[in-house]
Amino acid sequence: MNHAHSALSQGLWLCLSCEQLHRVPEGEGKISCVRCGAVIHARKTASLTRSAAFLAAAAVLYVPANMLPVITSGSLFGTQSDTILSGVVHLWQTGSGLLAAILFIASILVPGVKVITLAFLIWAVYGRWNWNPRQRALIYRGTAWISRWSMVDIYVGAVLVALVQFPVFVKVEPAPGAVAFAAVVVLTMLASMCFDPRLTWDSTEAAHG
Amino acid sequence: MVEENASRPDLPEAVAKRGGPRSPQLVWIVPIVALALGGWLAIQHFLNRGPNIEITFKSAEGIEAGKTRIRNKAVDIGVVKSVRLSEDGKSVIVDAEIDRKTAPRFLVEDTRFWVVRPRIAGGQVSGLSTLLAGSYIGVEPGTSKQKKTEFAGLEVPPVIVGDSPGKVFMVRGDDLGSLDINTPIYFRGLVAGKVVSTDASGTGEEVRVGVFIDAPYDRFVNTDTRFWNASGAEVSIDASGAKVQVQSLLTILLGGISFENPPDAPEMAPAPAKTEFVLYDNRTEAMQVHETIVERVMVKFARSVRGLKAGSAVDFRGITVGMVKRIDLEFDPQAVKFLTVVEMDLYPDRLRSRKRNAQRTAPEPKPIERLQRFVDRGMRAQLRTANLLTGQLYVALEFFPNAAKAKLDVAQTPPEFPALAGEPRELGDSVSAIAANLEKVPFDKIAQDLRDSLAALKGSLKRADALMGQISTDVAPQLASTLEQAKKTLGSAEQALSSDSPVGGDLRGALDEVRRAAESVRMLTDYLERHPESLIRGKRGESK
Repeated sequence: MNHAHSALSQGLWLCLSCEQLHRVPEGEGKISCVRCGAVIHARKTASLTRSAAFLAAAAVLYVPANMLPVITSGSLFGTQSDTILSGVVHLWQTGSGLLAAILFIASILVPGVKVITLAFLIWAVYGRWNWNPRQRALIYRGTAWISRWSMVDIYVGAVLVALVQFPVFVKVEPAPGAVAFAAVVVLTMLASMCFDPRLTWDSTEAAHG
Repeated sequence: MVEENASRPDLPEAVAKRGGPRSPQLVWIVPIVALALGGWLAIQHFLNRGPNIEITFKSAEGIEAGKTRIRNKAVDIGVVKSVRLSEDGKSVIVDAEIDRKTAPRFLVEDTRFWVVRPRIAGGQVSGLSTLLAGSYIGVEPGTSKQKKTEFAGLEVPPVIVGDSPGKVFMVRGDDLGSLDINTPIYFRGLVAGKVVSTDASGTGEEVRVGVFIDAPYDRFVNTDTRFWNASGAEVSIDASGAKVQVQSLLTILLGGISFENPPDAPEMAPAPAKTEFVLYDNRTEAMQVHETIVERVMVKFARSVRGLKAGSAVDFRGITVGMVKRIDLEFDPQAVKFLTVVEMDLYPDRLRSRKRNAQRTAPEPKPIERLQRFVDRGMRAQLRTANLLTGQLYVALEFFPNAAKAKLDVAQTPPEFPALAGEPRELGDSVSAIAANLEKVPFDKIAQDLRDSLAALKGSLKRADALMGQISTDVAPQLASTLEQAKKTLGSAEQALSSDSPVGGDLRGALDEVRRAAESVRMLTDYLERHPESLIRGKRGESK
């Protein structure tokens, strides 16, 4: 299978907006789709660079996202700031094991795993590894699929802040960690968007001639 | 592969646009910004991390690591990080982190820490918010400059927090009663402060109560100020009758201390803080005992002092000049008789000249000498009945110029004040005299006579009863027949006298005859009156 030829090798580019395949004229400058007018590239522009940059930003913000409180809840019983981890611990201790697991997986594990896997994929392309491109493609698809669940936490937080507003009695406010956390999620999404999985095949193709 | 490209003519050729590609390097701004942001957050976090302190408490009740706050004036200035037992296991050590900015002001030697829990004391509920929100650690910064990071926490919250204007005074009393920390202090009914400390004095003979008087009331406290326990109701029965005094309904429930200056006290400078005062039992006592000169004397009475008690008044012409302090019994082995010894405090100052210091010429004699002079003039102590109903007694001082010579016996301690031998009869005595007289009445004999009389009366009544019986059986029927006959007689009489009876008609005719006869007689007498001679000559004229 790794001897299937890529479109690029045949001078064909794909418009990523309308999936129209083109022949590419010679010369410099931007090329746009003949059908929908979107700018098309052989591969996503600076895919590795952008992906790596967003990923680095996400990795940096992953630390404050988990260290800082994401939600400040005030009630008659006093004010309490919760980080994601403390929320997980609290849920676990109060017997909501399932919720704790969901929160842990969606909010801590998934972004972390995503950062690591993307880093691995980028590194693999950058280093022109030939290791198991199918597995890498699977990993990429998995990463892209799973990333949408990371936003659950932010949504829950946003809904809480919007709905639970009984001044004096209960008050829920976003804390700085929420911003960092949302940034992590958005940045990992951007990173995985910027990553062009075709690069995986390009490198293996190049290796095989 | 190019030929393959050519072999796909069906595919459209893309449109070429002018313009170079953007530099991809710009995207690295994103991680740089993220790094800067993350770095700033981290730096801020580490910068804001305040110093850690250790506070030792007896118990960590209500303190939770990571949750319990340290607060001053309801502002969080720190949070408890961990709670652990001390090495000897006798106390708990609370590790806490203090806010960096406030730390220098709070971490000094005399800073006080205490756990705020809900408390109900002195009519005030405090720390109610902790009921729901959990306890917190209160802190009151000290004034020292000496740095410190290990503190011993207070077990009882300090009552005076902050730099409240006012002064602390010490009040000594016999008994704490219902006083407690936070018990209000009243000045003429105004809440003027509160109790801040209660403890026993060094010897354990009295209690010392620290009272904090708020400004501006603290300026009313001078060295002559009286403090008294305003707890509850004060019921006193004395020579002037029964009296109930209540400060306020609240003090009945919660107790309280009142203070006031004696009404006629001169203006004095406010007392300095920590001045000690006596805590009197009640207002009367507090206001009464403002005698600075007190002379203890004793009086020996040969009679019962029932009705006299410690606190009874010593009276001179209606003015209280002293107070009975103690009553004892003394046995005189030689004479084999008992004497009641009444010790009393006299206030000689009340028996002095009204002239004030400035006008006084001669030096003031000593109080005891003054009393001596009074005794020489015939002053004697006498027991008198104050209240006939309750049998209260009081000691009266009075001048008896004709009394036997006596001296104030200063050889004894306390000096013996002479009592007047002849003492008036009291109500009890009179009552017993009456009782004795009553005893002489031969109640038993009277009762016997009464019983005899009653027996005789009973016999008479019996006889009367028999007589009545006879009357009803014998006399009554006869009486009935008699009455029947009488009725008949009356009936016939009525018949005879009725108008249409023959007897009636006859009678009327007879009476007519009589009337006519009477008329003739009158005519005759008239004629004879006019012509008396006719008696002799006979009628004239008619015969002619």
